[in-house]
Amino acid sequence: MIVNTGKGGVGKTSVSAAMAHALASRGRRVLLMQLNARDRIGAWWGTDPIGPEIRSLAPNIDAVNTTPAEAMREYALMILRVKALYRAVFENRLVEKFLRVVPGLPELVMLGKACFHVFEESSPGVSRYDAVIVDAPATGHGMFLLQIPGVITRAIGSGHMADESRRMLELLRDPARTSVNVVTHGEEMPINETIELVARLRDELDVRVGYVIANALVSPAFTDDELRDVRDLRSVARGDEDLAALLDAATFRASRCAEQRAQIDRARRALGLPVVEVPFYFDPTFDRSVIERMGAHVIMDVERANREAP
Amino acid sequence: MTTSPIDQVLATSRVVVCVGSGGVGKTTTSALIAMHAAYRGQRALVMTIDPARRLANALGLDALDDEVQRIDLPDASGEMWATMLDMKQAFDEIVERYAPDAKTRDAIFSNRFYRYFSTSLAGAQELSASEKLYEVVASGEWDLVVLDTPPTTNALDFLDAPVRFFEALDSKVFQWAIDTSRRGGLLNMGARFVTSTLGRFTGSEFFEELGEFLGHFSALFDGFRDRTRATFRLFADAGTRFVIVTSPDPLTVDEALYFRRRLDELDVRLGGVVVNRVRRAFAHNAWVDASLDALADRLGALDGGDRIARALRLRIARKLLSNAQEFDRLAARDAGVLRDLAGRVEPAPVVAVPLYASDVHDLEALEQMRRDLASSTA
Repeated sequence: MIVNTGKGGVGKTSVSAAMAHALASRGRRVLLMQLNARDRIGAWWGTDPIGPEIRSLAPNIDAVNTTPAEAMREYALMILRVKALYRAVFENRLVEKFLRVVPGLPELVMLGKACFHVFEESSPGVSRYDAVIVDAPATGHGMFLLQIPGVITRAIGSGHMADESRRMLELLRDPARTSVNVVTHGEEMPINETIELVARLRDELDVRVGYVIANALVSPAFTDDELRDVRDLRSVARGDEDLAALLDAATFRASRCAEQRAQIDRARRALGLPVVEVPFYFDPTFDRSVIERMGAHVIMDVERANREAP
Repeated sequence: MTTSPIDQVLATSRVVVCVGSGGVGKTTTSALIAMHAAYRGQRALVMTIDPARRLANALGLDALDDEVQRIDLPDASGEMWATMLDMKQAFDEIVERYAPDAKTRDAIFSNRFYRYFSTSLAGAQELSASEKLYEVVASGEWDLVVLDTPPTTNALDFLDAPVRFFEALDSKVFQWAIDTSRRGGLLNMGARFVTSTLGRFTGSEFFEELGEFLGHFSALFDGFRDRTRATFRLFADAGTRFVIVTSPDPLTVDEALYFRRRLDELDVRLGGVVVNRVRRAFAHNAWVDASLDALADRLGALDGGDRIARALRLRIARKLLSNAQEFDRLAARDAGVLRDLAGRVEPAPVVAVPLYASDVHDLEALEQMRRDLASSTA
């Protein structure tokens, strides 16, 4: 199970999709799972939005955008086994409303679905998926999602939900089976949030944090020597506005790159984790082809990050 | 005084609520609006949710906490103050205030559900934030209060969550759950069947604990209900403006537009849309037809001859062009998004704040950003 969380707007969904593509291209069967999200993956692949039913997205990739209601239904049916019984109880209007306002229940059933697919077998002894990639909510909500099994385990002793929560907790804390990654940008605020989030994941949840994934990094383009020349030229280019603009664009890029580098190094030192670096794609439209290049890059850079890890 | 959109908002509002999706610079924008008010001579308070330590540092504070702290702005004729909402504490205060007696209050505080879930109950954060806003505005101490709303995955949550919370509290559902947990044995056959089936999932303790929590909590409903109504009146007040903060990312802009429609439906006033991190154009197509040779020659002329070898100048020229083209493409895309946005939020203004060469680390950088925010014309 691969869980990707991180600050809002850093590209958790595109990184999750890129990972799915990368693993699938190496022959792994992947479930790419969004949790009650406004689906964008469907649009990237030029298909209908991904709904709460699992469907094939690409060779080796299944995708789903689960909802609390659907996850609850699947879970209840699994235990009750009889549709009529399910309808009598769970489709009772009061019960439906009640379940919607029970704190933590939506998160529990959605995470439960993810865990279910980790254990799911297509035939005895054969896993249906090699990897379940969970595109988790942003920091605060993501933390809450992962805390839920522990909270339920502590809050209630018996019953199906408690048993399930214990199983989920065991899976989340098993470093051989679960990796939680934090997606971020190479900027101060997201890196601060990443450092705090990793500490909480380790201390409060006792889960293994696999990688920090620094997304949307602008590549340097200019070497240090070239930049020196650019700066020299800029200092004498005052009269030539068009040329000055070109040179400014170059120093602008260099400045953003230096900032990124400093922030990534800070995260690496503070956390002792491998940092996977994902480039910014200048493509005019963001679609499947970008995701696929991103995936190919991620899989290569994971190997580099592992070698470089402190 | 100039009549930038931000000045227009500040001239007519006592409350500014900044809303938007996560990661768009909402906290910084909120702080800058309060800062600008201070430069206009107002006494302004910004209430933030995020523990944005860097922002606190840039403002000259070690950290923000739930005390109001004065920000030192040497040249400002007004005052800027800042505070951070502690969600857990804010919610505790709500319970404290609305509990009918000490016994109920203590029972809620010691309930396991409350301890684990008080800040994650649907809408609880938003409720706490609006509650605090109401309190601060009612104190009459401020010319302007800027509220930075909780980080939401969806910009809609902020307005809808209190409604959801309210509806949930209001519904028969809670009563049903409370009754069920209290007199399970007295229920009719159908209800007993339902609860025993649910009990198979949740375990009986869970049900009891939840019922107890809801039972105690229901004692707070009346106070909540009144206050939620009052908060909505404050949101719809003529002196309140919502400011939508977004990035130029088309998907984030979509959310901003969706949110704007919701504000309309609720008769809430939109002060404007702030778009942060807008990428600027450098070359403005000046180099579209430029040949590498010609550019290398111009670099050479600038250089006063041949200090930089021609081969190197050619390489630099090639990189300069492709780099500027990359940024200009992004700038063109952002400009298109902005134009479209402006057409769709009319007559509310759209204010573009550029992406800077480095992150906003200090007061000087904040100052720059404030000037950009306030000088922008629609």
